[in-house]
Amino acid sequence: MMTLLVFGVISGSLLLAFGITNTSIAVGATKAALQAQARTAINWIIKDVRQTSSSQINNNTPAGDYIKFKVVTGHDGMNATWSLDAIEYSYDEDIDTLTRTDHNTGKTFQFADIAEPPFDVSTLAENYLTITITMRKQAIGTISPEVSLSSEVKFRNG
Amino acid sequence: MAKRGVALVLALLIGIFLTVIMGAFFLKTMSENNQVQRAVNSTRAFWLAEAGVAEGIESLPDNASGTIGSANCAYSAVVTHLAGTYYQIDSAGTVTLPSGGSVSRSLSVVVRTDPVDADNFQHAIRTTVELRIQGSVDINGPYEDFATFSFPDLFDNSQEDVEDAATHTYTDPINNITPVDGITWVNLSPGEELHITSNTWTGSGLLVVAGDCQITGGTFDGIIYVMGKLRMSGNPVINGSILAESDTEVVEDTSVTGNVTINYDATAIADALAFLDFIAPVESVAWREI
Repeated sequence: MMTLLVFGVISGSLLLAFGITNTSIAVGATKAALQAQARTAINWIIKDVRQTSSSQINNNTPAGDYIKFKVVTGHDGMNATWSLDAIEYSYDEDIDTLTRTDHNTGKTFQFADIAEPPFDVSTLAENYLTITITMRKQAIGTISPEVSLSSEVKFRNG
Repeated sequence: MAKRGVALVLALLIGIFLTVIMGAFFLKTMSENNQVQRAVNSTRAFWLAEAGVAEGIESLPDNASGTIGSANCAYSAVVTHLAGTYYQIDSAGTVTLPSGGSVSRSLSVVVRTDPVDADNFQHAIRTTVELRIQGSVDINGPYEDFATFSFPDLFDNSQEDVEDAATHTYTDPINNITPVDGITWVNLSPGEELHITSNTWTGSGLLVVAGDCQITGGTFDGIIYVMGKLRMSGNPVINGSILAESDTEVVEDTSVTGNVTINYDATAIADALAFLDFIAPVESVAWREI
């Protein structure tokens, strides 16, 4: 009888520990994955935005959820040369997705689980763009961890 | 016996369970650590490439390379002259990993230099005070005295910047100092004077004398700028332009050394000013990551 009781207590404790560990691992793994995704997304945006100018973005009705711009491809000896078509970032809050479309190649890439519009365009006149990638994803049950990465990107081409 | 068997099995199960949990934690931590290291090294490589661009601008028109922090963090910038005042700097930043691999980022930047306007130099000789010409001094080109000019206005650079960029810097030099080419900056203590007396002496480029100067021989191609008293006599030949900010006296001494000859020479002036092309702030006109 005593053996069964001890076994039951130990088994219960183990199950409880397993449950807590499982939740912890799920949340931790989700957070790590979100951080990696956020880093990937912000790195793509930073790399693109650095290569444009504030006027390029201003000319294409920028908003918190939308920017579109051409990037520098070189110099012809008189002026900078620009890509034939633009790169566009568009955020859809209904599906928590930021879509990068390169109209030069026609390729699109989607960044999922983005919880908020990523662009602060109020600083364009000062030649930089503030980007904040906030990602949220359900890990287990009702637990949805959130990570956020921010960066101020200076336009290298004016 | 049966009870002891249960405890053993239970202990083994707990042990296996804990081992699996610890293994999972270890793998997750390693994975996160690798991700962070990749991100850190990529960022490091980017800023190394930016450092390469900065060093490339600093060393225009030459290439630049070096390391920052450790031998594993290197940059290499290749400078290509495109046309006119435009230069392309292709810079790569590389972080070499302990495993032998590496992480690289590359930038391509076109910069424009800001050359000094040669139109600032329209005279064979120009002084801020009275210019006394005696005898049969031969000045081929316009000259002006009581002129108003300053070093920064003429050269689009401060004296400090030009001195910092000088090819040769001398302080209280011996007579007929050589070499004088590229940008030569001469500092003189109070009471000291730069003497160029030898007929075989030659110099070229931009010669700036921060003090008094006496020239009685030699040949110079380029621009001489004297911030002090300038005295010329004998038979020196200057091709280009001479400027003096203070008392200026050009004295011919034909009985001993022949004639002072000053030829306004736009080519010699342009050649001298070319040495200043890379001192003024360089403007980036096209920046891209490749």
